[in-house]
Amino acid sequence: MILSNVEILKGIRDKQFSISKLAGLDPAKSPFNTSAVDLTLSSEIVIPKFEVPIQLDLRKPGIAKLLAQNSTSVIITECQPYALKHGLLVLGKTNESVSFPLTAGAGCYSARVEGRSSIARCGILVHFTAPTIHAGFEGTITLEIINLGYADFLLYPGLKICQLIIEEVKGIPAEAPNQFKGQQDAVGVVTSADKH
Amino acid sequence: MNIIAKISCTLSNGMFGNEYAVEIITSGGEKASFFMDKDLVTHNGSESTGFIKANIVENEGEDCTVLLPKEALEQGTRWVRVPKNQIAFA
Repeated sequence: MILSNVEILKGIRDKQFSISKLAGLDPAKSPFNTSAVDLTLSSEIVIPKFEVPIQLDLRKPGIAKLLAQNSTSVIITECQPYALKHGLLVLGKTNESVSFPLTAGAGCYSARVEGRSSIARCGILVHFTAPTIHAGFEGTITLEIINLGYADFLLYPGLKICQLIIEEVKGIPAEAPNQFKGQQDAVGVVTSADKH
Repeated sequence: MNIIAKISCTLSNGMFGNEYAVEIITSGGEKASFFMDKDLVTHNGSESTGFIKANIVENEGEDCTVLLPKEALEQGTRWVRVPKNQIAFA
């Protein structure tokens, strides 16, 4: 079930989850909406390098390092925003850091990051395939920002870029050791050894 | 899900300034990599190596099944098997 603004604040106060650096704690004011809380863009944008064509093969090791080596980090400011052109993808992060802890024997929460209607009207996607913030996640949220509109769109720090919808996870996630022993379905671990 | 252990990892620059590209060794010698915020990584005295926290799900034999804090890019899952010699139990 999706948490209301009041329940989001209750969850934060009860330390069931956390959202750092929220701009305010009044549920009837920004950054809260009735059933979500707005998050803001940090001052760093990552732009893929175009000069050298690379091929990403997730079967090969070192993907994280390869992605890092083939991207450039840019610091944006209020005075020097980044103009995202049509069709281009950059990565951004939220200023806010979130934590949805797994607690033994207790329920937990997860979340979904979604776009905001005002930014959507400008043709901007802030994620296009990976909205889920799983239970157990901790950290800032990475956004895959792409401009499908035809006007350049300015990205600046503090921009209300996305909204976080928080949900209670029904049931308790696997907590007992050996729970996955012998399991061969989709959540089982697949390694090379398993494949052979 | 309450057994938290530290997994050895190698660290290099991430895509963002506040993150590392983290690489761990899984069972069978395969590597798994993902990005982690720097403040969630502990150094072990070296700039390029350290530990990340992960939940132990299964502890049996020479390996453990762990739930990583982030999905490994190569394996496409947060559940990976890790040799015990890569794990420091709290």
